[in-house]
Amino acid sequence: MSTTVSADPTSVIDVAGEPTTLRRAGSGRSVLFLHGAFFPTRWLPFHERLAGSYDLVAPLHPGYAEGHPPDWLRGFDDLVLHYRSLLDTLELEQVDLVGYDLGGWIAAQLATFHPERIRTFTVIAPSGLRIADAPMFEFLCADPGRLERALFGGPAGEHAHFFAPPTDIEAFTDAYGENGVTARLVWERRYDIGLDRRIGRIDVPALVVTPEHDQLIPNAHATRWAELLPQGRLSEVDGVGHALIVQAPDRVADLVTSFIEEVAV
Amino acid sequence: MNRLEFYMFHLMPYPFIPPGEEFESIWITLPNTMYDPKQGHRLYREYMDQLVLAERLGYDGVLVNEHHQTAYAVQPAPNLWAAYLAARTSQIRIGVIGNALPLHRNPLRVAEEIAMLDVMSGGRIISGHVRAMGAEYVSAGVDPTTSKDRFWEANDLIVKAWTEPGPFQWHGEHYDIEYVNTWPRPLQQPHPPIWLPGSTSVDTIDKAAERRYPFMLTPTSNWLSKTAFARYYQVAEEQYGYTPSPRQLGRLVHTHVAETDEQAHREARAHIMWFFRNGLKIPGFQMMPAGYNSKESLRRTLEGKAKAGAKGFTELSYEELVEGGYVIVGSPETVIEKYEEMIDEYKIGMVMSAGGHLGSMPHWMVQKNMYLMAEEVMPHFREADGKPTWAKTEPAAPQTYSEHAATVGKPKLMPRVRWEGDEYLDTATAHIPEVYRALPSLRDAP
Repeated sequence: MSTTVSADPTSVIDVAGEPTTLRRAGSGRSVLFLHGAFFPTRWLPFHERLAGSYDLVAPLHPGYAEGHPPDWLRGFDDLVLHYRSLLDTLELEQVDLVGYDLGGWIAAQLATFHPERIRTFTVIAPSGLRIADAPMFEFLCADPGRLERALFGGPAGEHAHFFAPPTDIEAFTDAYGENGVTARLVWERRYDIGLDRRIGRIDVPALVVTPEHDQLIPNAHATRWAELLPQGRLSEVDGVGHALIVQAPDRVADLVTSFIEEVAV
Repeated sequence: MNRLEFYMFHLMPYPFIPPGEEFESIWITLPNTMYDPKQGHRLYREYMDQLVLAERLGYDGVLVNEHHQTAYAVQPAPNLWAAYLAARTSQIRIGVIGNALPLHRNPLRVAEEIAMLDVMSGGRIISGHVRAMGAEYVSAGVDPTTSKDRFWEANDLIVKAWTEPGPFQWHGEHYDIEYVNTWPRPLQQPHPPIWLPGSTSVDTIDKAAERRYPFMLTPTSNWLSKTAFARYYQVAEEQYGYTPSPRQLGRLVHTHVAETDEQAHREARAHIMWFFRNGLKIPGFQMMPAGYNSKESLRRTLEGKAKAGAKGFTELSYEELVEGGYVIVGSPETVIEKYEEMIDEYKIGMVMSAGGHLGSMPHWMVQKNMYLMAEEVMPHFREADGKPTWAKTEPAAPQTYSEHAATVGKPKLMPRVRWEGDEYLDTATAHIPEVYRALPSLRDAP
């Protein structure tokens, strides 16, 4: 990996009364990155790359830092309101919005309710749609080995450290807590059948990044996202799986930055 | 008072599956093509007969429970079993231990069914309430992250539905019901006993002690059993200011009794190992799916296990299971001795799965186990009359119509119907000409 990872630029800020963990680095256009169900809390080379070009604003969704969902988190509407408040708190009138995996779904909700706050819209291997005959891999109660292969499209290799074994009690239970927050959001709703109709409201320049072979969220999802977004285009990253932001941080970041530069006004 | 109550507990497993090493899990994903309904029919018939036999043998109660999508326990609808048992028995107590409350979208269904069973059975029902295993939240597609809260809200709603006059409104965090007005009301007053079956989780033990609900400990070692029961006493005494009755504490410990110690081991060991190696084959990710427990609770569990060097159920050898007290196997003298130790050390008054079915045990062996338990072990812990508790307790409803007529009498309201104008008929006597012709409009009716 070519990028050097600097210290985790984390602080805790107050967003409408809620302590919110925020990673923020770099300068330039403000890019709001919403993390997914995987690799939620670590500061990654991918973040570092985006922070090399932009003012990267990468909050943790409520509960992920603590490892349990806050009582008030009952649905995606709570997240939309939370992120609108975050933009207000940081005095960011508009951002380039980027979401990975579950973060793509959250980004779509934010963008449909608050299109005025969004300059461009990028989703990377997003979840949230229901596609007939192409269901997501079930990951909240999955064999760790099978999950690893579904996520990376094979063994995780150098990235195996993302999967703590139960004997590493602290790291294992931290991850368990993070997954518990994901469970609160998606256990009974692995997709939102209303999203198909709503995505059409995101009428800004839009990019969908998909790995060559996504075994966790079948590629048909990314294709559909690109069709539903009025200004959507699809870019594929060769030779990687659903963990593309970890497997190919440079290439994914390059796609995002060149897209933003191209459409920047 | 008898010193120990004996309950026949049945899991109703489907044992015709490969050894545990050959499948991922006995829960959730074990293909149901392995279930042959014709074999299942034969098994269910045998299991029914075993449970029914318990009454004649003098057990204090029979217990069934709820599990889903597993060969470990093929009883997804325990209230159906209770209905069957209510029909086939007449006096023994019937426990559903329990209904998995948060799996039900509307917990009033449980309130209704238990109340129905209680009325049908003449007030013989014990209503066990459980949260359900992690795996069952996967099978049911129900959010596990709110399951503890929903468990207690459902429990409170059910108790209120049984005890408060309806209709009333329930506007809870998780259940919003405009008219709670459950028919029938339960026969036992104020309501059927509620048991909390549970593992060694301190949350469950503390809540059970607080509410004085009998706590039934699921299979574990002697050491952990001792800790769990001591905790119940301690919490009851120190936090809630009362000394529990031993009847508030029961231990589920599979017990096999035969003529001699050697014979008991010969008979039971393979079936015990089927239970622990195959029946309890469940990977950690299914036991603890995301959101089922808090990370702090999982951390405590894992640290406790690491510290104690505890093995998982499937890793224990037969000798370790016997030595550790996970099971009790032996002659009547040995079983009596072990039960005396439990009474002394844990101060408990109930034992479950005390002689009965386990794992892949054949029908004849189960019955032999039950007969020996009843005739060689139970009398030791009972008063001189040898009777189970139900035989010394006044039934909740009269047993005969003459008793009913003498003690309950007629309903407060007899059925009446308005005929015409302000003329009314008592329907019970309305077919008698001398009665109906008293009404002017029916004076000439045939």
